[in-house]
Amino acid sequence: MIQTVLGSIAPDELGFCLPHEHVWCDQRNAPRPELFGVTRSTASYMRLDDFGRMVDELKAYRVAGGRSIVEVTCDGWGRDLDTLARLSEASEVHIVATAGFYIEPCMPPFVADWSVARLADHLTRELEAGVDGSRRRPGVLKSAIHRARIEGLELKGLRAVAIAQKRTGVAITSHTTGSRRQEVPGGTVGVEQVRLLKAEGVDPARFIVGHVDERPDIDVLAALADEGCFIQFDVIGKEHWLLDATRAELIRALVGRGYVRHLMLSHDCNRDHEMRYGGGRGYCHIFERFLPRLRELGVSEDDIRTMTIDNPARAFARA
Amino acid sequence: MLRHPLPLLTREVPPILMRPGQTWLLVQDMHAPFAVLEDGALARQAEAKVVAREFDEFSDGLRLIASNVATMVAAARESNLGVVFTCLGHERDQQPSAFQAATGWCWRLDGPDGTFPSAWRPREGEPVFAKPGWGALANPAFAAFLEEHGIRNLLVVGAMFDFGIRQTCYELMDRGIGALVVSDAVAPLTLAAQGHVAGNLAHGMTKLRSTAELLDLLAVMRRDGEVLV
Repeated sequence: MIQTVLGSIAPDELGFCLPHEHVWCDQRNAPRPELFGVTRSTASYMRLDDFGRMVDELKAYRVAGGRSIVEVTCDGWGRDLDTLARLSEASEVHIVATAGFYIEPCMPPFVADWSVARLADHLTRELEAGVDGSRRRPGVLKSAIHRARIEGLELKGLRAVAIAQKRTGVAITSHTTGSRRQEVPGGTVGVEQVRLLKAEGVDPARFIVGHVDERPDIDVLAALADEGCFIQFDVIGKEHWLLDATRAELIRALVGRGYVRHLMLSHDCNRDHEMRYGGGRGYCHIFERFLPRLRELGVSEDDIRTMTIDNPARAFARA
Repeated sequence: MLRHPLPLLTREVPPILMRPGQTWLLVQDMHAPFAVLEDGALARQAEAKVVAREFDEFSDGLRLIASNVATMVAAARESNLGVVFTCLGHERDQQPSAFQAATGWCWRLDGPDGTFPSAWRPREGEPVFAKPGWGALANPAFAAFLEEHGIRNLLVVGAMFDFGIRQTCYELMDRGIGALVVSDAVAPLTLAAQGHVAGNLAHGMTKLRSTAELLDLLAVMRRDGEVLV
């Protein structure tokens, strides 16, 4: 079964799924913004907080053919499962919420104070019983690393996530090294996340390496898939990092090498200007612009279905 | 929108006196790794990593400037200006520089990576200097060459405008040597960088002129022996 904010659904009910998006978040709530390492204007914070507009965005996604979204905002910067539930009801889009931890600037203060064991118990409780007594349960865990190494509270968080994963069987999705990816061998700290998770006893097949399309090295991505991981092209449309044309060619090449069962696609929408009301394409960019590119390159409808429907169903169903 | 605030606060770029002997043409990073789009080192690497499309703007830019680079090389020779080449890479008897080791671009200039397209291939006697990193003056032999020959200003063409050429212009400025960048004979890595670099580079001792403007100026120089730009 797959846990959404409105309850459990069967994997075949998930349908077309965007596995790494934000629907409701406000990074201005980050407890330690000084750790971002750059001066940020208010406008640069990730923020989506207009209920009516977000309902419209989700409805547009549903009209385009979307059925579900994995909402990867973590506790610490605006995660709100009650609001997600209302958005899901209003739009008829399944929403999977997230337990775990985003990057250190956005971690709740208790992460520093609690032991790994206590953090793991906390995450397990959220996944099994619900968040803050609401009985609304997340359906996925998250590990986020924003430096070139896994250290400090982010390492602590990863270990707690690993323990909670083994207890519950849910997948772990990841944020990998954002703007410091140029310092990481192979371009993604996901390689190191996998190594640590394996050492903690987590099956790599339950790990989704996120943001691989910020600095992709096709051989590293293939090696991650060989480990069993999902490799997630999840900043599609953000061409200041990489052209969609390049993303499409990489995906075609990976499909050609036999890795289609490891690929998932998403946008990581998180700011007004990316949404339709802000002039962007919101959750519809993949439908409107990216899938046509893949088709032009000869990626089959079966392969597209595998990446957008079958793989998310497999990834987010509890093992 | 591109803003270029630095030149608002700096003195105007002083005139350059173009004259054979003290003015040379510098052709930078137009050797095979950058300039051969089919199978140069950069192209091969991008192809292997399936990221060739990321370099489309560079490739397009290089195609656009190729004829202007060839024109400038021919015009300089015809005008009795010296032509000097600087190339990222290392000689056979040198180890790769720290920069080359860090980037993985350890190109030996005595092999295929040191070759040039025929349109601007160095002629016998035209010096070619290895460049350890982005800036040409990081090679002391090139710095000594400029001094020994009394070179006061350089016309600059080539690839990687927003990296190597920008750095070389700054280094020339530090030494009091004027640079005139031939604006349609330099290829940036990205189009956005072209406007950004061109606008900010022109503070102090760097000028920008087009190939057509240079051809007119060189004609005046050939007639009068020198020309003030």
